[in-house]
Amino acid sequence: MSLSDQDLMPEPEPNEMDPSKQRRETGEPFNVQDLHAPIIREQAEPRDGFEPVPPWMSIFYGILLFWGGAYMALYSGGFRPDVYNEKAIYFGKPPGGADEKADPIAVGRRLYTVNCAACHQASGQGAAGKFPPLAGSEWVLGSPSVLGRILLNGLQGPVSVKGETYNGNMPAFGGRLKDDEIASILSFIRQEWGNSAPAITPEQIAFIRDAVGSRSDPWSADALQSLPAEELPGGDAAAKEENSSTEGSTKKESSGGT
Amino acid sequence: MSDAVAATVEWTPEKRRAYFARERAGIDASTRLPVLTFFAASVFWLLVGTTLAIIASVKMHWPEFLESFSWLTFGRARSAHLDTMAYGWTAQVGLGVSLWLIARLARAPLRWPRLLVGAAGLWNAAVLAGAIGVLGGQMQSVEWLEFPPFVAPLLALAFVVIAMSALTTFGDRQEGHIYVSQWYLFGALFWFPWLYVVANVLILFQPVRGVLQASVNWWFAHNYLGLYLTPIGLASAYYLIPKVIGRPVYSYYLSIIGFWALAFFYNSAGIHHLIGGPMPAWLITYSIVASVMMLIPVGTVAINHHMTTVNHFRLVLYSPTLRFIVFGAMSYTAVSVQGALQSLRTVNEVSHFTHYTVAHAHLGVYAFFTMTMFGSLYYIVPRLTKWEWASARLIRLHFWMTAGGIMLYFLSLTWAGWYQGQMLNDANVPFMDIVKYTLPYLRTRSIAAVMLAVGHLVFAYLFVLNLLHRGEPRRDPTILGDVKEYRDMIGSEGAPQ
Repeated sequence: MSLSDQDLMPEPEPNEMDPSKQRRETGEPFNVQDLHAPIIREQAEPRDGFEPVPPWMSIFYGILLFWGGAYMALYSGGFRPDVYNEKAIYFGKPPGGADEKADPIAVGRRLYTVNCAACHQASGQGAAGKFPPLAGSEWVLGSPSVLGRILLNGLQGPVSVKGETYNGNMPAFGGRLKDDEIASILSFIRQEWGNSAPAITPEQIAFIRDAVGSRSDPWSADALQSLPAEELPGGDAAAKEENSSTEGSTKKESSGGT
Repeated sequence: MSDAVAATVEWTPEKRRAYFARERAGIDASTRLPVLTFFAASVFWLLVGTTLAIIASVKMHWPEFLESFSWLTFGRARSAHLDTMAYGWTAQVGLGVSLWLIARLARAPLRWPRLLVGAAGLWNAAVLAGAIGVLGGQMQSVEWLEFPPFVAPLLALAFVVIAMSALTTFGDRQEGHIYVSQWYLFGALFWFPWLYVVANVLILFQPVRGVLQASVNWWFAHNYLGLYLTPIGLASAYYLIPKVIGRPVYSYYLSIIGFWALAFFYNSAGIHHLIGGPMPAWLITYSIVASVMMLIPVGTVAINHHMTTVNHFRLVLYSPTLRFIVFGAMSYTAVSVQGALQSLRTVNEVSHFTHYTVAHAHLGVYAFFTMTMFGSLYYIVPRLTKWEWASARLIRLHFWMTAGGIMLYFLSLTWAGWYQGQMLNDANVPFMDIVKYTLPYLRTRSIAAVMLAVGHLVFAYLFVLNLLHRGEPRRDPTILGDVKEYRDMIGSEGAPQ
């Protein structure tokens, strides 16, 4: 079958008001019943051209993207949720948590201020007759096994520190602080206020926590002094040094004290 | 007509033109009722929003103006202006233009025209209730979402109905090739409901905590322009520029870069509104980078449009559509370049919290979007009402009042805002000195607002005349400038307007 012009267009219906009537008078081969002027005169639907992307544009956009990457790298504060100052440039060594973890003394200082300074004071001097000092204390400088147990379970009853006897109640921190936090605090107090004893590692605290098991009572000074010697993990230089010199002298001192 | 039948026809250029003209007439007939409903309602809200704008503007330099009406205090009038313009004017005129373009480009009749009229009714009832709520004191303290919360589900429901109709029409398409305008419209139809629903839920219904609300707020407010109004404005420009000029769009490849770069970068740009706020540095930095990267889609679209129009710029003297759309497209480039610079921290330190930002916002929503929509209406409405525009003189008046008004608005507030920002950053300048410095510019802004209002009244008058088929019946399109010159210029082939 074939289509005539009449199939394409319906029969004409003269419309005096329709300006497109003009088209019929000019002899165009289609009818304009519903085809008002704007629709008839209108250009074909838009098409796409396919001109190539100008090279200078690619170069300019490349430079822009490079700038964007550089700006992101420089002013994003390590993409941390808690950094608000875009000018803090860290280059992979962000501040706060991650940085402090690398420096247990800094973490220890903060935790000490929060947990310990109320009694032992920021100066580490304690309070005469009430809270024993940590600066120069033979307990602090002594065996990590003893010191770790004091922090994990607490200490009750009379204890002699630097020749003075205190009868207080050191609370247990084992349930409240994690191994690395306890290790940080102990490392801090062993190296502050003129103290100089080797740092204590989280592994050592974990070992002690294991050895203590489910004990929940606080220690007494006597019980701690009669502990059998134990081999702490991390048999590194620090631990050996500790065993050979510090611990030996502490034992002497503490036995002399009692 | 099926392909098999079409293959049997001996197609001459005349038959081809006749066939497509008939097809277009059928498609336009299907869109007539809903699209004109959206246009009429949007023109109404344009006038309401303009009135509220003048009230708010005058109060900035004459605080006693209408002071005894609690419904028209500055805070309420300003927010009601923003919301009626956003949801009453821009959203609706955008929907009308989108529906017409979708049907035209799919070469398929619009689905469910009567249901669309119902959706338009629901939309307008919601905007009316929201505007009354804002003026009556039920305003939410969230910029761009000031409507009382019950309005949001109504607007969302109406939009989903409209989007379903548009997408179903798209599904009926006879045209195999999907033109660039359709990408943008398709994007806008999905992006708006997503933005609107997410923002309402996360701020009003299930509020997230603290500063997160601010980030959601500006993600939404910025994307309302960027991922809803901008795609519609660009779709319209991409359709009408080649349509009026009668040439293909310069480059398909540039269209692709422009679209996908917009889709990729715009979404992240909104947080630059919170520079200096308590947001993580990386989030602000990322939004700044995204804002500057907007130069890619904007530059691409600008070149694509420019190269399409080049050698045919004389047509802006004659075609109302092209004149408004070229003004809008140039403003799009200007506002986006300005926005990219403004997002940089050093610039933002000065421009933030000043009139500079207000000028920038109007350059986007008015000089770009609203002017593009005026251009589109000058093209679409005569095809739906079958009646030419009544007066070229009034169209010229409309153009010069709106173009001149928005330029005056932009220049005065940009100038005032920049110096205002510098003075605010100087602790030695007393605050009252800054307020006094801005006063002449605020008065200028009120004058500009009156100019815009005159333009809008003229346009509304023309629109009503057209709907009612008033004025002399015309044989030729209503052309700006001399008709004879115009005829000589275009020759016998087609006609741009």
